[in-house]
Amino acid sequence: MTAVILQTLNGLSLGALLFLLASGFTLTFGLARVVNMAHGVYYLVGGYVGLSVIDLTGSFFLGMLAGGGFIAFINFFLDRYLIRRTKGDALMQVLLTIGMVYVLAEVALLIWGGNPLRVPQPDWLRGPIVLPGDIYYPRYRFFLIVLGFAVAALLWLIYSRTQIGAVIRAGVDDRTMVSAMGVRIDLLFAAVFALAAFLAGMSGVLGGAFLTLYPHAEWDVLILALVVVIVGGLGSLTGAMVGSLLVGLIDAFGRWLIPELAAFMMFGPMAILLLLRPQGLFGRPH
Amino acid sequence: MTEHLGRRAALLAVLAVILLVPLVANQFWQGLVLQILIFGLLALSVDILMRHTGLFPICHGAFFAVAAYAVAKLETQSGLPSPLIVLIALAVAGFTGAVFAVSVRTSGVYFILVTLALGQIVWSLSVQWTSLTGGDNGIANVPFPSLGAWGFESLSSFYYLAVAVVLLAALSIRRILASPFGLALHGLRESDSRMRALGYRSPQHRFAAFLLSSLFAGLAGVLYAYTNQFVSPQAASLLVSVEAALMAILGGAGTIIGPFIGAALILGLRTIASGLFEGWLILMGLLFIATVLFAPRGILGLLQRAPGRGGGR
Repeated sequence: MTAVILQTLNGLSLGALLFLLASGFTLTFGLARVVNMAHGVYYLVGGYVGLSVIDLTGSFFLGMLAGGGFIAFINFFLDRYLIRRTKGDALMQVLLTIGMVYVLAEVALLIWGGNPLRVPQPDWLRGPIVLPGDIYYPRYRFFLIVLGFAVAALLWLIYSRTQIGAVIRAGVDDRTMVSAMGVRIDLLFAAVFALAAFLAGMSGVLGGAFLTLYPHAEWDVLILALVVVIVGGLGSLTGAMVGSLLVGLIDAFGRWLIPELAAFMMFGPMAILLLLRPQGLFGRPH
Repeated sequence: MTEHLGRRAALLAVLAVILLVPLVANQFWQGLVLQILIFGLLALSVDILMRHTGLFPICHGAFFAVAAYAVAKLETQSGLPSPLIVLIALAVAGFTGAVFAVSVRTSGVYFILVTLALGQIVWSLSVQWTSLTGGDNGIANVPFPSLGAWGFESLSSFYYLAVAVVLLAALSIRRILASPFGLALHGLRESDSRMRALGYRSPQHRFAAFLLSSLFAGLAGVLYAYTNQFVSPQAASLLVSVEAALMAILGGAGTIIGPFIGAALILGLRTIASGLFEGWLILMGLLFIATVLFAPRGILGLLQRAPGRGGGR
């Protein structure tokens, strides 16, 4: 029983991390129809930058801000001068952003080297936390679950309860109409892109503190984030929430129960879901 | 007419060079030419879907790898005759293709993402399922194909068989695409609804195209296993799938020869660059970006519009 609870918590904490990454991906797509495969490498480079800042300043919080901020900064230029020139052609966006992944990941390899690096956890999050039933669980991963749920709640509130959220939802539905109503849709896009990139960079710092940062992590996390949005439905925030939890839990239990075939546990259900509901759980038909 | 003759002459010249390579060049060059042909075939299999159904798959590394693993595993451990092994490997690739064909229920961006995620299953399995695949160590010492007492001894002798297989495969793809089936695919790409009105069943055609494409990708994987005599998870990596797509686009213009030109460019660049400096993947990345920005219709596309036409897409 304890093992089941521990694996559930492991699943939830991975799910929380995936949500931070996938929510940005799904919102950018929902709003601007931009498929940005660089979200995985944003995670990795954001994590590395955060790590260096933490080494310099000793502050985990500053590391998170720096990792997220740096990615938001470079994403602004990459979007403006590269991604936008694809003019909405999905295939070209995929190829272009995969090209960006190779360049950024290779530069990161030259700077930070090929060995796995662990982002140091802040002092107040080290050690275990004792949960009811005398269950010891790493305090840091518990913090991640709380943070993930907090960000999800915040994003959901903004999305469904505020004026900005209403405009974003309208933009997802009909972009031309929204700009015809006098909304500065380009500013809105820029804000959502910056938020998405910030979350991706920040999640690298958070993930690096328990999964470590290593070459190829950019693909590992990208694939998981893609499964999240495929299962949840591309462009849907609710879908990203539900998808992250499902993927996190399936990953944790898969690794625990059948380590050799864990990949089947993840992708098998995805393939079946696609047969029954090609648009994902919360996606709209396309 | 003269242009047509010129093209035919150029193709014959290239073929002559390919056939002369084992006589004048060492194993390194023979290996490079074979890699170009093998990855060109893989890119061509991607091209079948891309150019003729408008679907853009990023999972062909998976078909390539399962066939390569099947050959490696059976050649090193089963003692079956090679022709049978090749048939089994193709069947495995075709089966994987039939399963992955659930993806044709989607289209556009979704199709890209779904095939990418599906392709990663095979990669994850090749790393995780160590009892079958040898994990990161892979399967080494794959012998050249043999039938009873008779078999290929060296790369130079296997070379001609591989060239013949690629040539036959390319010609049959050309044949298939020019057939009523190929034309129907083209029609579906242009207008699904009109073709339906004419009585064509588009899901079945897409499924068939996907299956066909996976079989040829598998054939490339078979040749890969024999040529390199080694298979590792690298064969299933995302890079293989993505590069195959880039080769098809870079060559361009929907010809049979295009993907081979793309393969030659990319593998040539990699061979030169990886020897020169660390971080050569940066060059690969820049090549992706440059292709999208400056040559979305490929090298052949660039050449075709070059004389006197100037600017504007």
